[in-house]
Amino acid sequence: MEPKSVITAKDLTKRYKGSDEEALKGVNLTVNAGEFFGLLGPNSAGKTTFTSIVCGLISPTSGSVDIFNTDITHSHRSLKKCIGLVPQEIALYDTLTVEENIMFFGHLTDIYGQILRNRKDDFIRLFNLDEHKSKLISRCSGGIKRRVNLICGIIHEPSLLILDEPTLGVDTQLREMIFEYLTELNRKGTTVIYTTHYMKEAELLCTRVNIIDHGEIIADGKPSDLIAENTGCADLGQVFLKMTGRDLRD
Amino acid sequence: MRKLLSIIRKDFLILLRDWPGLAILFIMPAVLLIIITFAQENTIPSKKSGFEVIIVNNDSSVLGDIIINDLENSEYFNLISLNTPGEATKAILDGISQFALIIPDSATEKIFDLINVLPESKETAEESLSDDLAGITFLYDPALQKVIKEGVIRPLKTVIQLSAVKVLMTRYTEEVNKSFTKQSSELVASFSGKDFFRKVPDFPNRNEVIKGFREELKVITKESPGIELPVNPSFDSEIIKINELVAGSEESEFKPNALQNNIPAFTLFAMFFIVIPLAGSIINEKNHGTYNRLRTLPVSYLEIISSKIMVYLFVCILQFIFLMFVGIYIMPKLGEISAINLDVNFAALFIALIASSLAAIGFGIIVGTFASTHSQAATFGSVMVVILALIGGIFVPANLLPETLQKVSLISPLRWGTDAFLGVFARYEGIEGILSEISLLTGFFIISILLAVRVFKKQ
Repeated sequence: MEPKSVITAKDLTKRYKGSDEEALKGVNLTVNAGEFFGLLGPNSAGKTTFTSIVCGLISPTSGSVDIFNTDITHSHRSLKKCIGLVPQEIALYDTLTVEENIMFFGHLTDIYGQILRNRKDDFIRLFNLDEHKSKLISRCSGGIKRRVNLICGIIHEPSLLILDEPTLGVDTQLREMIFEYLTELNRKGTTVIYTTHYMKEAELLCTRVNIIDHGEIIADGKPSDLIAENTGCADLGQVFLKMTGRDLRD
Repeated sequence: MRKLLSIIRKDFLILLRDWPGLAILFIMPAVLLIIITFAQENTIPSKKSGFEVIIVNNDSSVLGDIIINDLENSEYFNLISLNTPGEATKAILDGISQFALIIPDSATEKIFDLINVLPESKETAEESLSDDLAGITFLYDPALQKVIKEGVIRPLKTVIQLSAVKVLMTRYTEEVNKSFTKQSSELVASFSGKDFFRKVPDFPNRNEVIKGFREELKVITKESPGIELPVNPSFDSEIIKINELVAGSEESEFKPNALQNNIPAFTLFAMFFIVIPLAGSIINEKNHGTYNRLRTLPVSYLEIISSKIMVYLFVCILQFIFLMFVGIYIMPKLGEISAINLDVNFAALFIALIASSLAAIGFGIIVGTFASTHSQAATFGSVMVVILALIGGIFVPANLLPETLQKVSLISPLRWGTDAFLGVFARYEGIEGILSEISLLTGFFIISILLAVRVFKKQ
């Protein structure tokens, strides 16, 4: 039986206004339901452009992206309810408290009342935020902000979760906690798209990875398969360097 | 709807926790209103203000004393007496007062000279009258603004001129009476002379009639009161009364004061200053990634922007109520100023308030949409508000601006708002009277929102 696809990108191109080069050059990519999909690439490879198109933040120059078999350019409200985004930057309101931020983003995904309050309390407990819940975000440490940033992206329990480098600047303890949580979430059926610069993370978490460079997909497969296919490479990091080269990127 | 309420709650919480922003919206306009209103009320001397003026009276005759007496009686000035012009100059430079009046020792003589030159030639008399008045000098602080100098010198000149006229008329009357007495005595003497009646032909009872005539003439000459001054001119007596009436509002006895003009003007000024927190909140959302996060959620731009419109509309209404409160309860307690008159058309006032608020919100949204940093929005926004206020008649009435600037002021939303509010507060107009201003303000708001939506869709 053919796996059910969550994302299908066909001949996807994107050229930014004023740029000579295409950020995406005819990308064809499929993410199946229940996958923990890693999108890896050096800086300016096209990862954020791809996730931004999937989230409806920017529109493609050409090509199409279907999410749950619906063209993303139509950007239905119901479709947006199924997607959760955890951006790389801390996208929270500084002058709202931890609780207020969680409640606000929960309300915007149409969760209200006791259900939302219960979920908020669960997440606060799970991520050990009890003593910080009444603090303004501006007064929270980087680690707390990361945790709240993650909660705001998953409070509505999306079917598709997109995480853009969620462990950037995070200590080992919190990283382990996030990994455990994401693995559990994926086990329960949530499809995860994970972009990271840490190859060890991708090797550990992802069931399948795509390596993107200069706007093109240059590798697709399970981490173990990619390591095996590339002789002389002992881990995904070595595969990545072999495929993308050692030149520094912008 | 629940989603919109959530966004409104979020925007309110953010605004409530922005103390500097709230200070800009409420404290700054109230302080400006109080300072500028009292400054305007005191720029022109009034019985309330009692301007301090140094006086150096070197006149040994009557004019100096009469001027001092009249200035004191006018109650418009508080006099500080000094002895020499040098002392007066030093006192001005030391900041004791900004004005001084020097009356020279020859002041009365100079005035009396006017009487002496009058009969000689009309031309000379006119020259003397238009020349300096009795050699009196007005000293003023070099740092004094022209408008204030003019505001003080005019009533001073009026008092001095009236004093001079009083002295002049008294002297003139004395001279005329002296001359009249002399002439009547000569006339009586000529009638009394023996030679006069010799030429009179004989008629019945001639001697009795002549005797009776002489007696009558003596009585009339003795009883003649001479010429008396019909009035005793002083600064306070209203020789010619000028009735003050507010054009177009015969029904209302209230005359607009500075507060009646300033409360609407500074409410508008404050309203347009929402550009700083409003544009700031839009830019914060753009720069902190929350705006992008909102765009990935099932929420429309219309809901995001509607929340901001509602929150800031509420703020504008609060600003208006707050400044009205200051105008009604605080200002009369701070100084002798009558409270703002609320005998206005409330429907017109409400519509003017909503239309002006919407225009201010539209301006804030446009600045927030196009600016990319908080400091850019704050700098551009506040400078633009000040410029629009200056050309819009907030600080100086627009009709006092040069002709070119008057034309430019017609494109200022603050001018439309000022005109609408002045229509309601000063001219007591109804909705029809301010319809064009309301249309312009609402049109500005609609265009701003359409532009913001267009930019959003382009992004």
